[in-house]
Amino acid sequence: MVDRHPMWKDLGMDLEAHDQLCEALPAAFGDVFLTQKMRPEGMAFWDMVAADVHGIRPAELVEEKKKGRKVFGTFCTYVPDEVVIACNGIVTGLCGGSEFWVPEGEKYLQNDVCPLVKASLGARMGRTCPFFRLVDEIVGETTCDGKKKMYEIMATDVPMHIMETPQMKRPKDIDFWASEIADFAQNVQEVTGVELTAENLAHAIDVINARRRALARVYETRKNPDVIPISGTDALLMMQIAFFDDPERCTQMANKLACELEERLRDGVSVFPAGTKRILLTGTPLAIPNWKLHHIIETSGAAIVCEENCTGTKFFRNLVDDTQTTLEGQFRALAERYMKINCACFTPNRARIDEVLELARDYQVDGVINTNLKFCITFKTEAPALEKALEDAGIPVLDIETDYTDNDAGQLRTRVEAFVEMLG
Amino acid sequence: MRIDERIADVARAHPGEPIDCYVLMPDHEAAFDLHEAARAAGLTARITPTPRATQACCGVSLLVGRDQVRSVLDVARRSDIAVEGVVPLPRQLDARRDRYC
Repeated sequence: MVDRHPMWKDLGMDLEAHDQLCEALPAAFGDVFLTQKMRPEGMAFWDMVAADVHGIRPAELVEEKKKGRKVFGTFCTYVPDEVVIACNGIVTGLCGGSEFWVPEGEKYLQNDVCPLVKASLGARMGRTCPFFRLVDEIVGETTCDGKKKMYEIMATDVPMHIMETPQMKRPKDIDFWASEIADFAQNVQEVTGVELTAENLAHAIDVINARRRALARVYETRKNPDVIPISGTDALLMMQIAFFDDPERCTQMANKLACELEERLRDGVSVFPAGTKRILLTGTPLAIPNWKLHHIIETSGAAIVCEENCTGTKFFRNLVDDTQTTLEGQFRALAERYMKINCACFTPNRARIDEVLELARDYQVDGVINTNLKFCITFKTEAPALEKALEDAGIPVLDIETDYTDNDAGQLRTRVEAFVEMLG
Repeated sequence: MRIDERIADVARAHPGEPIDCYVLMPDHEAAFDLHEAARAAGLTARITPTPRATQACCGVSLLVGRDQVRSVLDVARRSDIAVEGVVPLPRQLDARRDRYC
């Protein structure tokens, strides 16, 4: 058995505290994933990475750093991975989906901050996440007031580069975002020591577009109204791991999974009984290992067939224009693609409502569950407009606010079961 | 002690409970290879984090039903995949436990 403790010790982690997290993972993973029936064979890869999530990929990153490569940690789907990859850097997601890290975060932040922000800071400051220890730089963005202030604290402990995300989507805002990407490119070149060229950026755009196509291909199979070839819980795991994994391997594994799911559609192999109610989940992101809501919904008589959030469609929808041949043109193309993500940080944000309506139709859902992490003001505030639009379109909607704790699970289960029953 | 005897011991200690076997592996690559080989042989196996009841650090193992564990070990031998041990445990999985990380 590979013992990861020496690596974690070398990374300066708090081994005793981290051990408590390791103790919780096997039971939670088993309860959520291994109790499912007829899971696709292709989930084996994603299971393996998740089963040793603080071991397998961190060990790879340690080896890559020995070769001189630099690791950039990111929180958000607005940060253009392409720029880092073009300069031979590595992008990794950062842990922030567990209640385990929240108390440590609350040593620095008041408790009425969203759990994702508190957990992220707690994971770094408590030294209980190897990804946070491995990063040469963390890339933040101004998509959330809680994160903005959290970055100021985190910056006392680790190098940070902050991208200023516009709050509107006028043409001049897209121009501004292109200039922010150019500034980020300058920063990445300084950290990596690798010059960014139109050629290496074009290659990186191809790599990330390929990942988007592969993940979208998996999602495409979930649109079938008669056969649900993969659970939402498994699709979520794939998406969560996609933030951490090598992008080319991720593409390969997502395509392999998609092949199997397409075969299941042909063979009529569904992981849920016929007539199971189809749910679109929208709202705040679900960082690994936040599996609570998916598990509750899918063990309460419904199936999630689409996630409209940062750990769902926002991550892969819309490709970057790959026809540009100058850095200026490529920055503009990147800006245009990333500004199509409809985060609640923008005003107005009617495009998100339209996107949810479009996805609800495409995935032929019976209902929508709009979920909000506690204290996420922007998503919470636009919830009534979203819900009205869905009701006007005749799509039932359930609004849920929750956090990472277990203690509302029973109440959530009751509410979801009642909603599913109401769907008929 | 032979695996059959250890399974029987666990079954006696937990009467009426289903017994699962955790096949401990030297590393995740071996776990992945054995998973592929077992599935190709028509056996049911799942990659899982190794329960803390079996060892002291994070790791990957294969979850196999008690009735298939000998067949999976045969596949490992035939495929020249190293296995570090087998630990039978009363079923650790509960979809309604609602305990998350």
